[in-house]
Amino acid sequence: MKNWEETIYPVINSPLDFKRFWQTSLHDGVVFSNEPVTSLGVFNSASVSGLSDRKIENKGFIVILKESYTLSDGRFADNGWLQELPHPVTKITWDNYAAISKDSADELGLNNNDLVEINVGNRKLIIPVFLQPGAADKTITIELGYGREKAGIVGTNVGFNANVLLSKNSGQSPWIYSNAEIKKISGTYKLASTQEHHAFDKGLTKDAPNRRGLIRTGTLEEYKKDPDFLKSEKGLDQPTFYGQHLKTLYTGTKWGMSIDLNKCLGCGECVVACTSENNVPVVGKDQVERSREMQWLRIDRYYSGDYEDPEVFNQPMLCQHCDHAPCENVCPVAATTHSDDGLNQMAYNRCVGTRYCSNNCPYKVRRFNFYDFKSHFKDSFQENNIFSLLYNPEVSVRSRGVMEKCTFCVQRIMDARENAIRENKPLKGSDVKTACQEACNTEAIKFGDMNEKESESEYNKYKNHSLGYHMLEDLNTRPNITYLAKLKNTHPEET
Amino acid sequence: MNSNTQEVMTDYKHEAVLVEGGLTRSDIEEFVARPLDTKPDKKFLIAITISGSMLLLGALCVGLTFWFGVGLWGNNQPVGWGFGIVNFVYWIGIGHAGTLISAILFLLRQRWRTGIARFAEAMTIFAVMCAGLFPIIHMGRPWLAGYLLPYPNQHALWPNFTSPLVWDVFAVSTYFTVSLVFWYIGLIPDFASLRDRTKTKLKKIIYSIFSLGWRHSHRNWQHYEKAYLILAGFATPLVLSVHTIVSFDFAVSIVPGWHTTIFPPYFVAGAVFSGFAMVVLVLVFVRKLFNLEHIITVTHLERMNKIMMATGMMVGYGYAMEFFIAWYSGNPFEQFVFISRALGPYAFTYWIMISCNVIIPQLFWFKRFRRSIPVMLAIAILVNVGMWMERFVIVVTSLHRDFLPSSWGMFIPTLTDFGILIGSFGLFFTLVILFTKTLPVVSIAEVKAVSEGAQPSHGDGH
Repeated sequence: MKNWEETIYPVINSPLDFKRFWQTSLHDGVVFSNEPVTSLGVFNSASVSGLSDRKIENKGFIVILKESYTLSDGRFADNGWLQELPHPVTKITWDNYAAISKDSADELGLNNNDLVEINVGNRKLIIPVFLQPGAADKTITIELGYGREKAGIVGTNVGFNANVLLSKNSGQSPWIYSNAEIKKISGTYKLASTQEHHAFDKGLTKDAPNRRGLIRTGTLEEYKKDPDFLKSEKGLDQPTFYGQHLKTLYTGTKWGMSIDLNKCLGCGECVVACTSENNVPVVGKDQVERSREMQWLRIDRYYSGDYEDPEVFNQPMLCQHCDHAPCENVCPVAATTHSDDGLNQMAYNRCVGTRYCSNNCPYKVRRFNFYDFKSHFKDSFQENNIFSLLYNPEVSVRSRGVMEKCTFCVQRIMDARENAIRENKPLKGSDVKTACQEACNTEAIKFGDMNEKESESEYNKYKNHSLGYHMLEDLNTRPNITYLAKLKNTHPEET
Repeated sequence: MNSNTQEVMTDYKHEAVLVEGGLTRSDIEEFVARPLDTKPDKKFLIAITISGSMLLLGALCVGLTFWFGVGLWGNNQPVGWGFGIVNFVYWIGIGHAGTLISAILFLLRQRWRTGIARFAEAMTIFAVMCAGLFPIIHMGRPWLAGYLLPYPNQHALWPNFTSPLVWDVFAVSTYFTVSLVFWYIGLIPDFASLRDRTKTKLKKIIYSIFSLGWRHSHRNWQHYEKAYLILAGFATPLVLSVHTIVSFDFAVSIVPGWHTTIFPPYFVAGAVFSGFAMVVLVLVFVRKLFNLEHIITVTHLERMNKIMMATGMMVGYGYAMEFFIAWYSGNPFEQFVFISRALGPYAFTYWIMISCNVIIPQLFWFKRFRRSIPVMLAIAILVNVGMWMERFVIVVTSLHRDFLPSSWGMFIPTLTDFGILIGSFGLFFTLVILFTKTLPVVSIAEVKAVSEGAQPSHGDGH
């Protein structure tokens, strides 16, 4: 302390007296000293001159190494939430892989999950293959950050260490290597993906999301000509035999969400935010393989077009909180019911786990605790005692054998309601922000009260937008999540 | 036999011979009761060892499931129901033949039923016991199964009466209760006969208790006949209602492939179909092992085979109609599911189902095959395989590819799944085997009543 008082405190030039400075520093755990910057380096322009127009000789494949979308350079390898966050495009969890195009794979006789040996110079990597639609031929893309040997309970030995392909004197970029050789070796390695890969099947499954009306799209031109074009031109909203909605049932607040597909990037931040907010367990690779991932919110990725040049659509999918929820009437013990403010709610204590609700959910957004996930798996972070501090105390941790799903962050709604009562104000839709909404970078998600006036509620502007549609409307489930159809700008003025 | 058929057509007074070999009434009692008086022989011990081992294997797998969770099964996100519900529907179906034989054929005055009714009914009870276990063990938290019962409680919580699973609870428990009572009432005169002929003291006490003081008096018989008739009346609608309600588990949902109105009749026909196959399968062995060929005759088996063929064709009609309606409805989800059934990743289960349930039973058009023990044995086994597959096709293929392609997935059964399936057969056959050694497998009183010369007659059939 004396050293601090005599030598450091005077240098820092703090406006506080020493005693307060000392306390603050202890509290913050860090002291900033204004070290002078000695000199800035000068850019050596000569280093660029040699780069221009140099042709790369390539006989074979080009290997592209890039940092992992979820784990970065591997620093987040011990984070189960990120390990289990599906890659935005491939939807693969818990692994990296060599992504190659379908034509290249056909040439080599490769299929998904086949193991290959990749040689760059004298450096060698054995890794499974994944056929990536839209990938350039003769390239191999591999994410770094996997295969760490010492990364803690979660991250140790997950995936393959592609850093072995890096070279100090690569000649080009350290991330791109030419003249790579790839050959099939015996054996396979199962990659755990949260979505099946049949997007380009011939026949019935081809373009299924568009044909089934799950993703609605149009062009900007069409929209400019007629904002209601989705309803009128494409004839998507046919006359219905179903009766009018019983609006009188919900006279007070009625919660709803809108998701703008034009804004959604499919990044998955909302998924992690939801996982963190709602104490969603990490289940581990072997359970993802068996389609038992627990994330309440998922980003559905759909392709249309062909393998070489696919069009990709992302669609966040979560409980639609249907007014006519098919899950509710089939539960034998009334464990899932509807609230007065339009939420489809789960009473975990009442749930006996028949899974009938999940079968009858057309959106398949319900998640079942097949095991006691919070302590069953070594590779989930929940095993470590200190991580119990990480749970959100506002949300109950579910036991084995119960069903769970998105609650529209009911704990936040209750909190906002309590505040409103305390402050003697009416509860407004904008008082509540769901975890996914807060995390969304592009503000694609809006949440609010659909009984508010449109002028007072941003959510209602989205909800009543002419591009708005509901998922599987013809089932008469009356979902409370409005999706805004995706518009493409085809730039007709340029062509 | 040919001349017999001729007679049936011309001589309305003709009655088929139901007990062959000219057995006297004391012979009948002797034949039926003999297994109860003798010590278990080697064949019995081998049989019970096999079935008991299967049962233990199943018990082990159920125990593991209770301890670790349903995660040990193949069930997953799109396919919430797997072997558990497949087995449940399968076993409930097996039970239906018993009730049909004992109740409906009784009301229709089909006197040939007497030889097989007792056994078929016992199989009903055991099959319903097997079936009843599955809804409980497939639950995530089986220790809370009581929540499905409407009992008064301080939370004022009731089951959800709109859920078909609650209807199941009532349907299956009613079915079990009525079947058990019906079976027991039918056993009372036989208990009395056993009481009268036994020489061991312990048996005498047990039989005395169960025979409820039966004295073979006219008054006894008069009450008995009335009670039996009323219970047959109770049981008859159950043959139709139970599987109808089981089919509602699927029909009430909105899952493409489940949401169809043809399910109730199609399920009932399928249940009777598989039930008769199982009865034939078991009786073929029982009549051989216990020397009951004169009482459970080939004619009995032939008649059951005819019913099998008829219900098999009804089921085949159901399969065809499902496809027709999928096309006719114009519902793309429905159409997709049916094409996927026949050509998708689970196509092999669909074609096993079609060949076992629709194609192979067509052999029964030939009398030669209807009366051939090896042929009917093979067909009975295949029909059971086919009907189990049918439930698999309905449950799994409908769920694995429903509305959103993003959530499609495959169901891959685990060893635990198979262990429990084997265990349910173990339970069933253990109960059947124990039954053959503890109770008369044929109704002594009823068979005596249909044996030659049992009814007062003037000698010309009147």
